[in-house]
Amino acid sequence: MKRKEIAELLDEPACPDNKGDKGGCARPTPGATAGGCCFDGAQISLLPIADVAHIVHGPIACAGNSWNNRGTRASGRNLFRLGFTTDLNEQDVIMGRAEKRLLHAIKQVIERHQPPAVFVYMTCVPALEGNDVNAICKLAESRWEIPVVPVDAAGFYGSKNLGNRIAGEVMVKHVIGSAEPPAKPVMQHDPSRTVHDIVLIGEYNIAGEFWHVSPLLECLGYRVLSCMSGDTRFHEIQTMHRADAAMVVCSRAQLNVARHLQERWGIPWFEGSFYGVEDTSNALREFARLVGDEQLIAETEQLIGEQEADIRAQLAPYKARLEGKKALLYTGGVKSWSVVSALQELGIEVVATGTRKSTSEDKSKIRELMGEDALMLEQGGASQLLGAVDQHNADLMIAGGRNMYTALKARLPFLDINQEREHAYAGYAGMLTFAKELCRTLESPIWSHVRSAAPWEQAPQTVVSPQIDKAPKTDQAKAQEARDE
Amino acid sequence: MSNVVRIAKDPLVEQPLKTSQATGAALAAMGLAGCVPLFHGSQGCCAFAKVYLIQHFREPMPFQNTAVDQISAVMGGDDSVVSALALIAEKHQPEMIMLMSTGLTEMQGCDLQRLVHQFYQDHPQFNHIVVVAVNSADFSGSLQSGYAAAVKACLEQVLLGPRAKPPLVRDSQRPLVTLLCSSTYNAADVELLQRYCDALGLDSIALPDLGSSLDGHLAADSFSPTSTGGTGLEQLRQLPHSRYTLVLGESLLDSAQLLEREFGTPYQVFGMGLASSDALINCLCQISGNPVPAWISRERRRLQDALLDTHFLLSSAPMALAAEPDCVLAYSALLDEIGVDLQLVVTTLNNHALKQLSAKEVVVGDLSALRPKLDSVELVLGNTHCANLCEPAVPVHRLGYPCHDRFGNSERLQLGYQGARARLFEMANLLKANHHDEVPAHHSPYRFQPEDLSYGGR
Repeated sequence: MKRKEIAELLDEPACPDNKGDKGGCARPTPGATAGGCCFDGAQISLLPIADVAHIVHGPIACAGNSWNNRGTRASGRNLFRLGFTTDLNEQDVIMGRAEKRLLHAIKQVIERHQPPAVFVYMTCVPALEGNDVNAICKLAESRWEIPVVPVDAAGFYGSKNLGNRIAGEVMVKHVIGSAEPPAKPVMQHDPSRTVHDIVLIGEYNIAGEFWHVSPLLECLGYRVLSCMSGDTRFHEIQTMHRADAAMVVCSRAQLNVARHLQERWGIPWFEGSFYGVEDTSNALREFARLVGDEQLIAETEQLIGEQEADIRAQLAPYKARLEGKKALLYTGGVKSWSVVSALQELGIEVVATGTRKSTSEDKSKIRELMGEDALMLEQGGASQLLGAVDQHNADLMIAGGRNMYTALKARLPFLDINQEREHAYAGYAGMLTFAKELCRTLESPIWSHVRSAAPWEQAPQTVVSPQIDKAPKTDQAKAQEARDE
Repeated sequence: MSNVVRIAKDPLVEQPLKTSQATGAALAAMGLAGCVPLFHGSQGCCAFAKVYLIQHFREPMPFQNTAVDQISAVMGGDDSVVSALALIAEKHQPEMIMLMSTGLTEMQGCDLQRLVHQFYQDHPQFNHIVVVAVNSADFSGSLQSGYAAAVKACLEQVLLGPRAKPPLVRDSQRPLVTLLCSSTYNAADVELLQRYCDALGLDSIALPDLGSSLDGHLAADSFSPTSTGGTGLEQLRQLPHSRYTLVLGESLLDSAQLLEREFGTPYQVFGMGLASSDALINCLCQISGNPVPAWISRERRRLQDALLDTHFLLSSAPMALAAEPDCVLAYSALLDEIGVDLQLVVTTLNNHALKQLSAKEVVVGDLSALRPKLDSVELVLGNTHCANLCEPAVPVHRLGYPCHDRFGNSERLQLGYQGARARLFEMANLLKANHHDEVPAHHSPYRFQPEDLSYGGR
């Protein structure tokens, strides 16, 4: 990909942080960077398109390390669960045989699996070698007469965030709008009206959590043309341009897709989240508002009323157990505020939140929720996180899989909220799972055992600083502290 | 915490959890060196126990029996005991013979001690062979209590009583401890305890010692008419010198109390899990006065890490446990440490300690008590019969007897830091393998198929 094209992608007018210096998309710092690469970002955005054959063109590291490491779920054909790669070897690189190998790989995948389309992911080695993946894809497409889409997002092009954006751009350029959906069917609950078409951008159906939400959408008479991308298929992505409204769910990085949908096809969009009772309700309200159907707005309010009353009753016993607990949240982007509100609904105080991938708008939402003095962690190193936990007396840490062991090694209760998890937290029903999992770790009896020193080791434990190592306080201890103050 | 222990009183047992005392006594006998277990009963009493243990261990079991037939059943089988003992003594020259009664011969009112006495009188040339007689009626107790009875009989008849020899002088300077491991524990457990003792500078004698007999090894000889390995008589006769008795399993308390009464050896009961392992190492440390070696401290830290890693699956996971009381008490301590929601315990014998279990329900009965719980538990801990009942709907962590559908039953380490860790991982892996997605896939009727599309250009 040319530098100019990358520069264009970095310039995203829909992003509130799109200022002259591109502060919204910080460059990685050598020696102090934990995030994924551009290829990673592109692959995770598109991989959940379940019936496509995704070929990673490169040596084994890119596919080998990332194969099947995400919690995304799909119904129907699960071709994406296979780890197609050209597995370039030394001879391919030296002798310049990578392009030929790719063409043969495409042939094999089409003949063996008959996918509706093939996506070819460029990686660093063939990019550096100067493979013309675009030409190979064009050749393959004419030869086998199915779409073969190049995703030119080699790792060194930039951050994971840029990769998300490239993936979105590729879909807009090559796939979206290439076919028309069938005519709108009538609503099942009201045959006098036809359905409203919607699309979701940046919803990955982790652990199947979108299936907590999609029955509600169906019940309101929405047809989800496509969810980009979680439990979706190639032909559904093709029809995204016919949506009546779009929602950008998690990834600010794919605002470019929403903007293109609006500019080219006039589709209104909003940004929202399905984490937490309030946010889920707000997302449903926004869809109704954008579609502008009065009856739909009324029906939405009715559904929200029922669902909220039901889930609040179910959550009550858990809320009683969680009330007053303090959490440190360390996660990227939109989740930095959407999870805050979910935690607050359970009575948990969020003492600090990570904002490394958050925009200034995300941050203002955080201030709205947590107050002006909200502690925002720009840097996510283990010592900073544990320092904040210690300083604020947090009872648990909520973060992605990468930080999980930071918490566990410090003998701190932890909840995994990133993309590899196995629990579905979205929607109203997901809140119940969220509360249960919080109770599971917070109330586990292991904490006193893992903090205990061996009877023959008289000195206190040395691996952990005494400030971090704090057992859950008894009421007596709390009362004592209150008196001391 | 105190709960109600329900004792099943149904006239019909449908899926028995327990088996006979004689089988347990024969198992204990296999942990004694050069021993032949001799069942005083009909041929079936021996054959069934033999097949049961062969299937579990995948090892030959050199069991003999007195073949009580119609005539000796009615007229008395005393002669067959004496003649069987004489024949075995002559033919196989064992060091020991464990003579065990069964339901049939206990019903007859057979006096085993008198018969042993008569055997020595009639055959003085076999005075060097130790015959231990144990009352193991089929109509009371279970495998666990038969095993415990055999251990106690062994102490009583080898160290005390009319034929006891003076204690052997030890040539080691290191303090000696006695390891009494109940039928819950296997070869790997005994080996680990011995390793812990050795690491702290202590000599140890395990009674019985399944670690050197039923550990699944090939002996030098192709055939052995006796047990291969186990606690030798010379070791047994050193026990009066022991400084401490480590009791693994409450069923062996009687034996430990006997050692305390006769030789003044103090004892303590230990089990599974972090706290119990801490107490055990601490105890060994105090007996020897030696520091705990670094590798044991490291094993402890590894267990702590395993608790952290597996708590996401195991904490508050609903489970059920079906096993003998010693096994139940040991496992439930470990399950409590990780916060398992123990919904049901099924066990074989009533025991005062069962009231203290954290389990919601405790039943002394058979495996049919598990059936109503199968919808609400995620994992069951039990034997092969449990597995037949529960799998594949609910995965079963194997423990107890019999486990004839698994290899390596002797290596299922349970004790110490390593054992606790291995059990946590096995339980977590079973839950993981049986994982079902939380949310069922949702198929909206509004979704369309590729053939529904039209291609009108962009």
